Amino acid sequence: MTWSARLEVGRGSFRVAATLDGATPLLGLIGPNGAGKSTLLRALLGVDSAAVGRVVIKTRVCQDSEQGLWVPVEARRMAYVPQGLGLFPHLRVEDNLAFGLPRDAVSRERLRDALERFELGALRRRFPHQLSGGEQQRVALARALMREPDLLLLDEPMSQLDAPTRRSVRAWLAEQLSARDLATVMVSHDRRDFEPFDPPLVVLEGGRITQRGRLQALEQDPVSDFVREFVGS
Amino acid sequence: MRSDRGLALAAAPMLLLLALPLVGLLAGAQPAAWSSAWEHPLWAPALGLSLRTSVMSVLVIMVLGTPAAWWLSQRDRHPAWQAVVDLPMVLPPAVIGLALLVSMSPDGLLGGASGWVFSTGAVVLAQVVVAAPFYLSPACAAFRRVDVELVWVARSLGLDPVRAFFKVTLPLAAPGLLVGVGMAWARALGEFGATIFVAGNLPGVSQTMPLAIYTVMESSLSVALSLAIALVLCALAVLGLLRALARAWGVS
Repeated sequence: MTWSARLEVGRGSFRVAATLDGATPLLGLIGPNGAGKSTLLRALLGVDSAAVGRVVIKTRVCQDSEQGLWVPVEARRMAYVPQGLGLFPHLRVEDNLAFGLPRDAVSRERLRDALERFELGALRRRFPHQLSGGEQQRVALARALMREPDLLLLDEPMSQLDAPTRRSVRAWLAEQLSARDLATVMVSHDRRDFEPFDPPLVVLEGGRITQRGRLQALEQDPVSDFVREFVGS
Repeated sequence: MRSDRGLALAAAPMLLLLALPLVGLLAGAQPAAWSSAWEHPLWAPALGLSLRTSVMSVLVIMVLGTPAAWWLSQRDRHPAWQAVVDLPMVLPPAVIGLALLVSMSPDGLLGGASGWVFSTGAVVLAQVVVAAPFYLSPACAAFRRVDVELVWVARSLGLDPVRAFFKVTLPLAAPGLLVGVGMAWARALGEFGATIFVAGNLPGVSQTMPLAIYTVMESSLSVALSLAIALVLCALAVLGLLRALARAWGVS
């Protein structure tokens, strides 16, 4: 097991409680809108100070509420790609990629390497609003991947793309993820995003986990209308 | 097209009324009086004092107001805080001046600052209190518009909260902050009521341009008009400069 998390977080009267573990590189998180998927990702990331529980990545304990241990976001070694992608609109592609890295020769080398590896060299001087949806997506994913994080959090990474772009980014992402042994949690509403990996899926409904299993298991025994519709899509 | 003309007709009275001060000032200008205004002993010290104090006030407002606006913009603060921000906008400036004067009397709340009454410091204090809401409101709105996801992404990329604020929140809110700076500066430059109560009307010490115009008017309307036009030109120049800065930032 490379990581595990047991988290509980309240948002007003709504509570989300879930136990996740990353025995495989990719873990899929699905559920209807408002089920608490994004809330859970943010709790994992460490931006919600109301979240209680225990988060362990590899051998590092990131959070243990019983012992009063709380590692801040910037030290958790997690990369986060939110639904809106999180590109900084006031910075060029290269500055988005190098954001937060120290200004030294090693970082310049890392940036050069990333631009080449993710085929973004031609876009380096552009601002995010000068990129197509697919290009923005690749920049956001490249920025997360080049950190070589211990855990990658993807919140509906392809939800804003049109169908053809989505297909090509999906293939690109599948290639990038299988090239690394990177622990990843991906939220998606589209089963095709998971098909290249067939990862274990966790179904979150009303703040609770209602089912766990791979696509085939969900197909055979869907626990709710949501799961039935998800696997049928 | 027809309905647009009708609407324009409906909008015209208000717009004409708003344009009246500027048009009236220019129409009433007496270029013959400009040389006597130029030589008037009150004009140069008053303009210098106005520029010095208003710039000082805006700096104080930016330094103290930016963290306050940021704090107010985070989560839903109690409505009372919004009332505190709005208060100087709804109170008559003379009331604010009186309140400051009472607070700064030797046994008042700010008794320790009683030596400040009728000084240039009191001018700045009056301008800061009266003009700060004009910065806080747009600044607060600008901070609210910054997508919090961007801040979280910045944190996940290794920045502590303070560095994330300076590298992400502040640059993204900058155009809105600049609008607030322009409005607060204009309000500080025009400050009259609170200033005359708490700082008096002493040439070179507390007699800013609005006070000088008021003083000169008693002896010569034409000189007062010339000073007024100078003040308008000053205000337009600084607002133009801020507009250009905002455009350079990518937002007009």
